[in-house]
Amino acid sequence: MKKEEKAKTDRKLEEETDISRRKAIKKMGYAAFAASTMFLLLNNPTKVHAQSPGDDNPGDPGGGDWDDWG
Amino acid sequence: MSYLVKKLDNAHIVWFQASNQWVQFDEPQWLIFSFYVKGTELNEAANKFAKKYSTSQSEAAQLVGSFYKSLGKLFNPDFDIPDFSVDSNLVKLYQPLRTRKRYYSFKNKAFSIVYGSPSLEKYIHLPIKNLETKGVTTGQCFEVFIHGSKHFLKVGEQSPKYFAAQDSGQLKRLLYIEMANFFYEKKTNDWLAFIHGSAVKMNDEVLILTSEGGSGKSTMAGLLLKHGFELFSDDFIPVDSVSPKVFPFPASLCVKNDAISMLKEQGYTLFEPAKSNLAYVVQHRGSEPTKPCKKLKVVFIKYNSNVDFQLNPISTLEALYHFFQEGWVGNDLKRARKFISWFSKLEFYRLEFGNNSKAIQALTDLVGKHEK
Repeated sequence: MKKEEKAKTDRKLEEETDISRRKAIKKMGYAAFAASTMFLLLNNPTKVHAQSPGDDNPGDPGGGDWDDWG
Repeated sequence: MSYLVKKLDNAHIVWFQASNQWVQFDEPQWLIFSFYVKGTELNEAANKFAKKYSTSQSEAAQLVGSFYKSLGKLFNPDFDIPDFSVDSNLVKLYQPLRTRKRYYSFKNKAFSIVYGSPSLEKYIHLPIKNLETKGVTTGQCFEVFIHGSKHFLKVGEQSPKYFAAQDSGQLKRLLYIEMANFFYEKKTNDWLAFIHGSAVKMNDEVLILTSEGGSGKSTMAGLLLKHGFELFSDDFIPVDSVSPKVFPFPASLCVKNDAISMLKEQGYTLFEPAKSNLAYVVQHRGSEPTKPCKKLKVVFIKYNSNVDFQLNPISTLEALYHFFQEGWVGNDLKRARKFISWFSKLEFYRLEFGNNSKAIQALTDLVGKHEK
């Protein structure tokens, strides 16, 4: 029974890992395309809504202490 | 195979719907593109290209073959176009350990934001602290939090919408878009474009100062406030697809490092949060919020202490390249068409400066002056 459960967990992990690997390759798609093309690409369609890194972008967004900010 | 073409100077600007990609073609590339969309066989296209540009057959075959391959990817991209909306199932296990709720109002529209962590609160609340209200109010609810490896935005309470972002910067941008939708009663697809920049307004004309972070746009916008301009937006400038008009966004002007002491010396009141190298310009907004504006000029700005001052008009073609470094355009045919038509009628300048006084004078003179 334990063996069956382990096999099931392993299979699930393998599937998930495989999916994330495939996703990663697909994400690389634009970078790979942009590097290979000979055209002048004006925008990066995978970049988001004129997003800027922003000032004071938290490196650890989960951390810190609550503050009253004046 | 949906695409859009606009000729600017000697170049063809082509937008590909499937990949939401804007591309600039020179004449030879345009010829190959024309063969491709007509369905011309590769060998025939290469022969014609070799004849027209007096190249060898093998060179032409290699070039046309390579371009055909790239064009195939523009029409059938193998990369994902971002889609941030997610199913609520993704966050059903989210159990906040600690949160804080703050209340705000803009244009008599009340809203609240629940922050899932102190750092997220610091990052998102401080720029909009000027909109905070003391009392508890009902209105639109937003919630920002981290769950697993993702940053989430929840919009509304009854039938909430969820968006997942990769990082805090993306999360803030998604929140700003939803806030703009709420303030101006629009849907995300009603916006033609979003620009990362600072904007000031004088005499019903907006000056957009855009560039990458750290180029001095917020500082210059701050300095212009003492010279007859009013603050229109900082960091995020939405453009609607109907008029098109630029819309104000009520985030405070944010400056850092040397700009803090410089603005203080000039008599500005700044809010300087502890443990931060940033400061926010405190402004008393009038009772009537600034109205959207149709008339605008765009300045690509760069502070350079080695340069005294240079302000030059630049072509639409050059501006388009710079614009896309800091701008985003709606990804459907209707908006793409509207965008390029709107954009080709605007005036663009490049400003490089180390001398603040001269730059302020030149930008003030720019308002009301028309090149086109």
